[in-house]
Amino acid sequence: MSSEVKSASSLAVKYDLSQNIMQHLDRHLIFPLLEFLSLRHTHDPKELLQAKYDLLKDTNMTDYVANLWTELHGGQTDEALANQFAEKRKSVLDELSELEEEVQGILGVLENPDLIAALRQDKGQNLQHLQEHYNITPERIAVLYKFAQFQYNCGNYGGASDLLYHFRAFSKDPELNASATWGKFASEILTVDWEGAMEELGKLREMVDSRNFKDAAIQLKDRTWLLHWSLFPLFNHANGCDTLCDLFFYTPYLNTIQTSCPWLLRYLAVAVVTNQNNANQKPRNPRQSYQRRMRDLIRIINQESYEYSDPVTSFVSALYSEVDFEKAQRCLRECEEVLKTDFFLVSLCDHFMEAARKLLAEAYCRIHSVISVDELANKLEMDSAQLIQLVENQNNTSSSTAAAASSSQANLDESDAASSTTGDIIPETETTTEAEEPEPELQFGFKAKMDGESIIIEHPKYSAFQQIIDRTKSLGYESQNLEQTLSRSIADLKLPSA
Amino acid sequence: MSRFFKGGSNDSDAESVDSSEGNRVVASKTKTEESSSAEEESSEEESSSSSASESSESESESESESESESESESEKSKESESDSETSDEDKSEQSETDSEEDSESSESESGSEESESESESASESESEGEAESESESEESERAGPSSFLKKPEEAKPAGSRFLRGESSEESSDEEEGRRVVKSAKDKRLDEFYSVIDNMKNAMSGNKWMVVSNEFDQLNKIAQKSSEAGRRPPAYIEFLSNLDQKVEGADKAFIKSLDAANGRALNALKQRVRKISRQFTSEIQRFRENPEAFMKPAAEVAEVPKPAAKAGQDEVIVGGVATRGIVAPTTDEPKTEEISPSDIFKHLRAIFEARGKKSTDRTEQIRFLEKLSSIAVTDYQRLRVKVALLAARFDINTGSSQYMPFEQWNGALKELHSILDILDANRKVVIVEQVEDEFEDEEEAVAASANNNGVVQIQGSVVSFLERLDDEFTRSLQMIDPHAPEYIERLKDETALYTLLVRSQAYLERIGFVESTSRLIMRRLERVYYKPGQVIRANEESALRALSPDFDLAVTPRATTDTPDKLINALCVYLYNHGISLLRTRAMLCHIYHEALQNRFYKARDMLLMSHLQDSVHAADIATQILHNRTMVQIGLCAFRNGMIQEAQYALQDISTTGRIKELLGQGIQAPRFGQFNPDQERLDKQLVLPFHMHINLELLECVYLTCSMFMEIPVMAAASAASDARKRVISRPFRRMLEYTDRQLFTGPPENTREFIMQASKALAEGDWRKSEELIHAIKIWSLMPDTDKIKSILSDKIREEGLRTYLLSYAAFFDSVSLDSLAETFDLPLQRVTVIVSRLLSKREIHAALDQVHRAVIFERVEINKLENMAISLSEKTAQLHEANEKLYEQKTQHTNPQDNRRREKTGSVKRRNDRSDNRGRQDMN
Repeated sequence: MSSEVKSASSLAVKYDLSQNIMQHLDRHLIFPLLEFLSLRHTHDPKELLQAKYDLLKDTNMTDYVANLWTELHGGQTDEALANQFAEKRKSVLDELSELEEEVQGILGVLENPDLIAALRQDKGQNLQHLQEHYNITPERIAVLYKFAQFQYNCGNYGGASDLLYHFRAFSKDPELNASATWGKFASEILTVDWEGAMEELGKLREMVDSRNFKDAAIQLKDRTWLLHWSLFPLFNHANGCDTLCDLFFYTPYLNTIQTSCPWLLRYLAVAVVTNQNNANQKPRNPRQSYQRRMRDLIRIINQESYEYSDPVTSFVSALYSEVDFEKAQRCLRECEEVLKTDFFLVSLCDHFMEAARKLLAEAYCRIHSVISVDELANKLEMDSAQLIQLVENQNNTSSSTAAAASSSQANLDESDAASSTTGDIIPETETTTEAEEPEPELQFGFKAKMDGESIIIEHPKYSAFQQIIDRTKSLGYESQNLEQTLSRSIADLKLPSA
Repeated sequence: MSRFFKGGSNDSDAESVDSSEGNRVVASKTKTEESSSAEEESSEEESSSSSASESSESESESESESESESESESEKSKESESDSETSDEDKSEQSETDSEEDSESSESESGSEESESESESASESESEGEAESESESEESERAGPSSFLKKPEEAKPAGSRFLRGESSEESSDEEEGRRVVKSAKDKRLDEFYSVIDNMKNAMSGNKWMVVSNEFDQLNKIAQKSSEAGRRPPAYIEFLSNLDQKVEGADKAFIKSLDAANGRALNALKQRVRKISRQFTSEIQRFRENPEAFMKPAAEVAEVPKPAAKAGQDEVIVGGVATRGIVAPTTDEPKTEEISPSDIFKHLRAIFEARGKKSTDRTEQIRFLEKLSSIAVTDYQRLRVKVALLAARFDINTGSSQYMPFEQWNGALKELHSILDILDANRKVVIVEQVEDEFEDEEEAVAASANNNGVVQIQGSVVSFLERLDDEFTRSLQMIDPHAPEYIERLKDETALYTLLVRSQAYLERIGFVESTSRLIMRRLERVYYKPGQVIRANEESALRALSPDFDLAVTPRATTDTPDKLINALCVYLYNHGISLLRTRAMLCHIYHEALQNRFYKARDMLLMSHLQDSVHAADIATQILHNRTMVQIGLCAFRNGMIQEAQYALQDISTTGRIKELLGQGIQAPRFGQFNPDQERLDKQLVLPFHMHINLELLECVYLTCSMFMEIPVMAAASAASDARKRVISRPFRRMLEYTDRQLFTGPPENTREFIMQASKALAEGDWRKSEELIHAIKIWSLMPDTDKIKSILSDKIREEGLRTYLLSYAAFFDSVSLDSLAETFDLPLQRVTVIVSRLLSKREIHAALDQVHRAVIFERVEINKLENMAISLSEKTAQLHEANEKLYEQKTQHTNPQDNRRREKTGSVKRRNDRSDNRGRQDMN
């Protein structure tokens, strides 16, 4: 038993991404990760403590740092160091009061309702207005930024967030505004204001994408940071996974992941797998469809497999590109361990496991016509009774048409004795084959029924109709394309002559 | 000597035959007159001509000449017979036998000589022969008729006349020169005066460039006339005037001129100074008494040797002006007279003679070698050695020969000794651009004051090295790679590499980034294609040859102890400092190395990230060749790693062209349609890589075809099973070959690699994987791959898997169900593996079936199609065809009307360039 625990934890350590992720996070954002790690008991607590200390010793949170130090050294005290801490504390407090005083005046003005009424859209005009009526120069505005930074360093994230809000409203310096946005994003994350964080994320994304970077490397770095930071809100926000898929699958960001941080594929994979609930609804944009995302995910995971692989990505690739169910099953077992020790994914762990099992079952059933219940239960890591239970439950919830279908099929089947009770449609994703998606391999449409110890799955026959449909499916789309290009080239021809 | 080499120089051979024959005709005609007055020749002439004959004897007879001699032996004897009728019989006969013996001995000598020295002497003599025969034919054209007017006084001793006429072109050349003067004396004088007039005009108009050019011409004329023993006194007069005028021009005056003229004047000044130094005494005489000097012009002209009169050292004249007339024996005592201070004077003279047709380069080198032993100070020694190196590289001009080994080794030693000096004396540097060229050391040292006390010498270490490297490569290109000589030659590479490493230290010290990067490129190109162990050995031997504390900034010993690190350090330096071409080449070399070290992903990522494939088609041919080599190496690397698909993609482009040899720089294109362009061929040959760098083409083909087999056979099986499958061709060459094999009525046991693979493919297609495996394993060329056993086992696995796939795809229609166990047994694969392969086939809908997990079997679906359905299917097929036809039509139409659109399509559709990763990997979709 103990050895199992050990292997699990070693697995968790092996696939621990904290190191990688921390490189691209702000000091303060790392702290929750370290806290989480110390809760999981996978690492040496002393090391973690040391890491925390090293992390925070340059911040203004002097009291906490001093506590950390004593904790680190087992309650010993060091006079010199204590003095040092006290000194630092004093200087921090001095600076705080100094800055506070300065800012207070400005804030008083800024919160003045008269002023708010007088403000317009144009920043330049606003500034002029401020200068004329309240004697607030751009330099004084800049103090806001400084104070916000100070507050942030002290751990007062809410305050920092407010200050930065005001600062951004008036500052015209694009550089400072950019870093203020980053700061605000971090503050929102640390104050657990996910709505606000999502908003800031949108702003940052716009900024990173729109700005003309002289150096592509800087843009790459910004994108990398953005991707990492966004993990915080996206895995906590209600609709986060969908947004995460959108963000990560956007081509520039996808390239960023491929070039600088392939480990993020784990999060993408989890997001895609868990986000299959809406697989049946047709999204507005075909890019956002589950099938499309899954296909892209498989492609990228395969491409990057030489650089990065972990249980989650190997599960996806084993299931879909290698079609090796045993490996997929093995990976899935590891996934659980890994997810439980991942700061971002721990909350999604059960959800992911369930979704992944479903995928496994779907894929398995798709190419099998007869499966023993035990085997499937084994694959899905539940016992047979549970599986039958599940099947029955689904039977109850499934629509009457499905029941009718099963009963009609039961007539066809020779061994219909059991089918009346246990006949069922397991994964009921009865998608229409005429769907616009040209990728049939990710669609599932079949019926299954129980037959004693085995489940019999009825696959739709690959009939002549199906053949014709397959063959002509793309024609409409392609012809339309052709027509469009034709009209475009005609327009092009006309244009220069006109 | 390689066959190729001979073929290349056929022309010059023929030419020299012609000219020497022409010579002989002239000689034999004049002989009638000469022989009668043989005793009347002056003593001085005798000595010079005898020395000439001596020198020509002592220098080994050039091969081409002796050949031509033997070829025209019969002709010659006829002529000499006719001679003997008119002149003294005994004498001519004797001389004939003499010359015959002579030629015979030289023939036998050259015949028995070892191949190496033979080729050397041949290359030397041929280049000489070419140059001289050209100049001679020119002159003899002009002077042809006048030769009959020759006066008896000029006749040569009869004993040497055959030699002179037939082989020692130097003497005959001189002789002709003399004839010219006599006949065209007035013409030359006219020319002379017109040039002087031109110069005077130009000088008054301050057009110094013109003056400078004219001055060259004047000197040429003066030289010619002085060879004839006569120099117009006007020359001296003009020289004196010019000297005064030029010396009078001070710095301010020069500055007032524009840049080009100023430079010309500066150069002119130096030349005038030099020349007037030759004629100091005469100028002196002229200045003392102009009238008297002008008058006795006739008498002065009678003095035959201008050199003696000029008070010049005869050796110089021998080395420079009169092209080795002076025999080495007479040289010896005279050289001792050269004092170190004279060195610069001699050097200048040598530079002057450089590049002239008539210069005897070997003589120059010998002389320079002597000078270098005389030189005392570092500055002098460096100057002489730089000149000597240049002279050594001058030794052959044609692109169809390579530098003789002894010269090459000499140059290598020279460079080493230069580096010795430079390392010992840090106050002297060799740079490519010197502000001013100095006459002698004092000036140079004086000028060094404003240069931190560092004396600069004009020259370029890196250029010399590049030249040395080029010559080495060229020799390897021309030597037959299967001869032991090639190996011998290749051994010199270590020495060359050592020198490269050593000079790198020097250049790093001097801090010339541009030169350093050039040198590092050379160093990289010497190592990139070698396997790790060889690089290591190379590096070690190079460093062993150098002192233990020797170290480099770019590639420090400590951090570049492994080949990978070394290559990395070299490449990184070039990425940071090189010009774009060097960066490109460094990148390719780096990728090549990575591929060679079996790091496929790294190599591929580097290639894709660098976006080289977008721009390489615009690069020079050598770089394109390097790129192709790199691609091939990546393909082979993928194969070694068992990545069949990647290997096939990487090799696809190059293998389908049918010009693999040419694209890899391992051969030249066969002339098409019988058109033969020698120039083009010569250029192509220069691009051919030395044999030891070649990639084995048979292995390449074998790898490509094997990969194609693994990919094509299942696809073909699928295509034949399902009527609707579109014909997707992965590898055209493979298909073509397979079709060809199919057409054969009788197939015997396989003989070559191709046949092995073709028969293996057929066996695989039939499901007989054992036979296929046997055939593939029987291919001998796998032994050239490292880890043959590993590769064979990879291939076996692959054969089984693809065999299983092919089997299922082709015979699916004949089964209702197949047990997985029996499949596993048949294909000797574990059950689990079979399940995975079958699952994959099923999930991709390649076969329509399902697994029965309980009974462990594949259940095939059987679909009965009735007539209506059949019709509907064919209707849908027709619709699809209609659509395709539409698309084709659109493409055809737009190709003519909208070139932009067309170009874009070409770009995107081109298989050649794979822009980014996704494109590369997504190629399956594209195909």
